[in-house]
Amino acid sequence: MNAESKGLPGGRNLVRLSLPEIESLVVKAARGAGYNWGIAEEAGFAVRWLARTGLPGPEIMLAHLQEFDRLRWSTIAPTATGNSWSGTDGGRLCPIAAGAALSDHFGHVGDSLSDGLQIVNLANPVLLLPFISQVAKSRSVALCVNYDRRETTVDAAGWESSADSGFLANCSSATVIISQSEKPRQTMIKAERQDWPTDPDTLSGFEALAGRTYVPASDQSRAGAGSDASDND
Amino acid sequence: MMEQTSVANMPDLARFRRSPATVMRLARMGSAHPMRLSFLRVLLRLFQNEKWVFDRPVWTLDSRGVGRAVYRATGPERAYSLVAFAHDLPEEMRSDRVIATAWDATFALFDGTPTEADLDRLERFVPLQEAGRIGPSELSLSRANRSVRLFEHVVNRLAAGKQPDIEEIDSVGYLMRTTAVYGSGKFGAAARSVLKDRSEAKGPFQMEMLSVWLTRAFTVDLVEHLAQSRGGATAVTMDPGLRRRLGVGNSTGLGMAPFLIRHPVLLNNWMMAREEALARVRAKPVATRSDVSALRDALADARETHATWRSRHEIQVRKLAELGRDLSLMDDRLKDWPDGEAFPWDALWQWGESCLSLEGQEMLLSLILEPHGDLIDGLADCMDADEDAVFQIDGSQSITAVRSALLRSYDWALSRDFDDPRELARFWYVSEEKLEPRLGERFDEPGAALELPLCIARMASDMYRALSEWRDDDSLAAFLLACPEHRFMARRLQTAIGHPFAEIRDNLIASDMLPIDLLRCKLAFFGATHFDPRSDRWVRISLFKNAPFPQDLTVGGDP
Repeated sequence: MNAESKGLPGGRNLVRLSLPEIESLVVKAARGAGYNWGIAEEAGFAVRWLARTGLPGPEIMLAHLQEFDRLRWSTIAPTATGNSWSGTDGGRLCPIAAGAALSDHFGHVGDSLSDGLQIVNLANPVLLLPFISQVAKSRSVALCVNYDRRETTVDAAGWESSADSGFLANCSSATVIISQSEKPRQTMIKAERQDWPTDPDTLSGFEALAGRTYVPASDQSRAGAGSDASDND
Repeated sequence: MMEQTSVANMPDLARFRRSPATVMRLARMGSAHPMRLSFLRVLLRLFQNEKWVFDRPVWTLDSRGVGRAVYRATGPERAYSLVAFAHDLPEEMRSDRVIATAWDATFALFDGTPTEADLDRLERFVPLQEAGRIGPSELSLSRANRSVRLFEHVVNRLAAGKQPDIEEIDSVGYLMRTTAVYGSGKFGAAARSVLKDRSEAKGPFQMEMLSVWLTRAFTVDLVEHLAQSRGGATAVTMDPGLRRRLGVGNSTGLGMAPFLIRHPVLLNNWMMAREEALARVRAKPVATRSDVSALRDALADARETHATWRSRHEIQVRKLAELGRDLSLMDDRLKDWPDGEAFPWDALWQWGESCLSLEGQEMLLSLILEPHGDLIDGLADCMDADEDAVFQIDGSQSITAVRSALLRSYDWALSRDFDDPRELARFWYVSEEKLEPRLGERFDEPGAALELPLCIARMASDMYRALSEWRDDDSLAAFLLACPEHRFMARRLQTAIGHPFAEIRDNLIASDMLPIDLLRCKLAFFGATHFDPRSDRWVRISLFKNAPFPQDLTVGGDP
């Protein structure tokens, strides 16, 4: 995709991507960065949720995929036992891997969250919020999230509007503490954006990763796709 | 008691239902025909029921047929406008392939009524198609090429003050064919989620169907305009009876093939609605005289469709011969039907299952639904899908439960032998050149490491094997944390449990798999007719042939 030809006139030439468009691009980019398809789908889900609620999910997801490019799963996935999760060797955990595990363990009936859960040394913790929202939705609760002096409440609809989106997003590693929220719920940022104005550099970053999932053309593949007959009939 | 009485009087639908094992086979899906619940029929019924009105507020084409036009559909709450740009395309640039870069006409469906500024903006981007950007006020992006022979014939005849030849019209069936209709968030267009609260737009592909239907009106206006330019006072407009025989053509290739696999809940809901309709009709205890007469009319229409259905592709030639024979058999069968059977429709159906080819059986399905609008049309409301609702995996399931779910829902997959190279012969991938799905030969072509997750049978089989190393009471959550490569299939499995028609029960990477079967099924749900495969992965069809035009709808007639 040629970003320039697709840019809208004026301003910084941002490309307005619809959320399905960015989700589908992120799934491919995550696959290109080495994640399995099922996890890549989680990355797409996460970015759609974040963008819809006004958090800079696309930009942070790109930085994350570039940083965690083709790392071994066993070094970035948590050991999900007890109420303190960490990596096998204490390394930084991937929030997509941790988020998927969080949803698997605590969504539906799942394990109890009454003692809270901490996830140690998690990279780009804002990327975990969509998964926390998923858990909150399936348990019909609000969950309090703390990391590195940041605090917000997340429920099925979104995150607490009193939190600062830039502050929430701007954290590259932290231990995240998730607990059942006791205080009355603040107004939530409802998931409502339908598109995301995307910087051409972010777009081309995703496209470079997604491009790794494409197969170069061969004579055989060109010949197979269409009809040999003329279309001037 | 009232309730017990009504329950007692209700026939047990279960015994009239076809099983997913019967329905969800590629060969049968590849024999599907359009029916009452097809999306274009649903759209036209809505227009009629809600008394929508249609106009053409903009028409600024020059004598060569180059310029812009706007067609507007206005309903009780909202209006939608097809914005058309007509171009002068050199013959050497005309291609149906998705790799084309220029077309005879390009279109966008606009949400509302576009201003002059909207049209100026769209004129900069819409003619570029994939290389342009549209925005949240656009609901679809599409393009069409002329059928050169018929287009010229019709313009020449009309310019000379004569009507076109009916044989010529029937041999092609359309003046233009669309080569892609993009909706749902593509290239910046509005996402489907903005349509979900609109009754006219929430059903599957309703906006795409609207775009194509208005495109059909444009194609006829365009030939009449060119005839007028050429013939002046001598020129005439087209006879409405001839005009109605024109549909919009469509060329569809491999790009559309993965859709049904990627949208299992949607596929389930389409199939469930159609199968429920069939079961309701089969369960009817009587066939009234007017129902019988409506069925005979539908059969006569089907025979006419068959008579104008041309294909030179060897598979379709054979299927058309079978269908022709089957239609004659149905004609004979209807002569002494109903004949006092307890369930006449079911008797007819069972006769069909024992005597007709797959093409014929699926045609019979479409035909017997036809007289039963009151009984089944409401099922169209159940054909959309909330795919987000099935995204989250229930990790609390035990390995035992997962295993038995696989055995129950994927027995058809687990019984395949994936050590046999024929079962693994193909792989689906996205081509770097066109960013479109393609099908490769695993053992002859590079790229299998980049395979798309469309090989469902194999993935189910792999997951089942991997589970054998786990304890019965381990959780799915623990399994997926250790084996993320099975996450895609785990989500699919949990979706399939509650959606019995979600999976196509064939191996989609087998050496003998025909992609046109996938295309045919989807296009039949659109309402397409005259399927004409150009290869095993490329098909031309007609949409809206014999349907009313916008100007006909206010007059009446059953779409």
